Amino acid sequence: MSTWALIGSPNSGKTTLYNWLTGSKSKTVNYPGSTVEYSMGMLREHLAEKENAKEISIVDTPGVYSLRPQSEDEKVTHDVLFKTNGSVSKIDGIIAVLDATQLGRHLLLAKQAKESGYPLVTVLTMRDLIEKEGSKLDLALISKELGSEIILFDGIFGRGLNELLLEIKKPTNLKEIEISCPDWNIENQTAVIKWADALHKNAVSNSKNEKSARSFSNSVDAVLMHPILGFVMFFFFMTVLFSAVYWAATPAMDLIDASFGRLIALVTENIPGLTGEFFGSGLVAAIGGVVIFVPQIFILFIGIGLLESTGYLARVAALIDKPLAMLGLGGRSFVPLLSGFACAIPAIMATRNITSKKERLIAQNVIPFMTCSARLPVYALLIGFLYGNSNPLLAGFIMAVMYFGAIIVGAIAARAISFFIKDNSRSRLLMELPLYRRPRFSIIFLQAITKAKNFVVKAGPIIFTLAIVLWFATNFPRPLITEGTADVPAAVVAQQSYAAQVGQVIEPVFKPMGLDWRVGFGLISAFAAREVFVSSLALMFNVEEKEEAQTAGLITAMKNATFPNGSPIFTTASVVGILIFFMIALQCTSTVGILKREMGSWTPVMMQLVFSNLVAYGLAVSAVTALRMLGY
Amino acid sequence: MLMSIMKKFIIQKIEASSDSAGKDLIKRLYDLGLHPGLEIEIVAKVSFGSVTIVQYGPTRLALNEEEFLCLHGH
Repeated sequence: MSTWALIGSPNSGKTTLYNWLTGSKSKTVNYPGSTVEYSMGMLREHLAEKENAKEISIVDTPGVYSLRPQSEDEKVTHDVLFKTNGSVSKIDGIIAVLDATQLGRHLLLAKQAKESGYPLVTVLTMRDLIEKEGSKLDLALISKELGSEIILFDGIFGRGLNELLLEIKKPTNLKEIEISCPDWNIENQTAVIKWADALHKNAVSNSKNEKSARSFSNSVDAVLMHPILGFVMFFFFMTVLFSAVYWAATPAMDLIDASFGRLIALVTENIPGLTGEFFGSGLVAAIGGVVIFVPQIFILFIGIGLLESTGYLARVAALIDKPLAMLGLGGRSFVPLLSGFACAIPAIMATRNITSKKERLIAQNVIPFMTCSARLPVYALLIGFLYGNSNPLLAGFIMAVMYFGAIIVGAIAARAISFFIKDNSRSRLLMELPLYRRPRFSIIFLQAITKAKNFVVKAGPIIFTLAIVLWFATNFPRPLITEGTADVPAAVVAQQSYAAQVGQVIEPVFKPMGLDWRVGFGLISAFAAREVFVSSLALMFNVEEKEEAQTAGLITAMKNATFPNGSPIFTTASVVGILIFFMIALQCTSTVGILKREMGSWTPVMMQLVFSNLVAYGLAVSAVTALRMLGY
Repeated sequence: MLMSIMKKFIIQKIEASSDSAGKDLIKRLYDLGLHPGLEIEIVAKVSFGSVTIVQYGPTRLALNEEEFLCLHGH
């Protein structure tokens, strides 16, 4: 078995080639630094059989400008190649992936790869752009000068794959070759730059169309990177994305909601007794409480996918470098922060691309404040409670306010953390701005479906388990029913249940937030996964309006929910309090785990966990108190 | 509009502070193909003038103030 490592500069097309070779569905985007961890996969079965090239594995590595690392993600690539006791098995050869439209500069890395001693096959990507520009490449000359086989590859149709397989299936013998990371000095590097420049000039012949793609990019930049208009456009795109998550998803959500409402009614009407209650009001209601938010997750990922694939994000990183620098961050923090709106886990890993330790630490601390997709169901329910379905545009606007509110909270936190970290080193921008590319809608669509599916699959087992636990906790022990009396109302059962007994103990903690033990239970269950809060509420409030759509039923139940003295639990004040708590509190246990891994210590993670929850609680209580005083 | 600067610039020297961060920065600028004698084009100043967009060949780079100040020339 042989293992080949894909090495290339950021944004050179490594992951696209990796996906073609292994059949993986790793995310490919159009900005530098998207891959921060190596991936390993076996050659696709049909490719291996076709070329009789079985037992070949491929390693995709984070993009590097040099084999000598300067950041955490670059160190991953270095260690894959040169750390003999690393987690990747022995590497048998390097596939250097070079962007053919940037050949002169990308040859610098290929030269280093050659000098490392590894057998080398060079793949020139962006074949479609080269052909579109009408440029001609002298592959024989490049091959001769570099001392490597050259394959021209097309990431859209996969042209060039077979030629590549023919090269990497040839046996290699590393025993007689010494592998080492090449030395670096200015004189040698200058000589290599001049060599690459000369080779580029001799090997690439340009046609009249050469500048078409660049001219287009420059024209778009004139608008999107304008000192004023650039910011206006940025806020416009963000507002459209964040508000679309609400209003664009409404029709699909209504459909799912109504379907689950009918399903619950069907189950409870056809399965008698407690069993029917459990499956209908318990299990199906809990699952429906999460599935309904899939359209919102889907739209969020479509929006982020569009931004990622065009090349716009690298521009935004440059555009907002100065404002972020004022917070102790920098332009390179932007993409991890934006990724945090989808999920904090990959976003925290993406901070490896940040060279400054201080900036990286601040970004890692701030990312959990970003409105991740798990918060969406909670926000959607509570905004729906406040504004109903009568005005989706206003609800969408409030949703955008929640997103921007999270950004402001993150900014304040970043400034505060920056104050305590004694490190004055300036963060690095040095950002390559790729050409704009047309988004590949089919891929973005498939990736969004995968993400939405993952959301359900990840939340599913937790919800299933909690649904069973909460249903039993809220339905037992059953009050004694004497012969001839009617069934005990569900509300009475809940009041005497195990959950109620435990709830009385914890209720004083949640009382200052204007909440009773049932909502408190929901908040605690959200530490398993934030989205569980919604299904917990559905169970705790035992949604009874079975003919109604499920979320509408839950909102009605929330509106009717009262304390024993008859005062309502869910008021504007208490709902705003819950929103503030969810905006600030670090609840996700998976995020806590990844923070520990990336920070290397429990101390800062536990500090963040305790501090963010205390601040969230304190602010929620303050907001509730203030709003109550104002009559809300 | 934005792209009106378009000032040509020939790098004479690439210099930074002598500490390890400065050395790393110089190394990275060379890794990106920048070197004395190279003609670059200053395309724009963005982010309140603190970020300089430079172009050389097909490469377009965004540099912050510290990074751009490493490039001495005329």
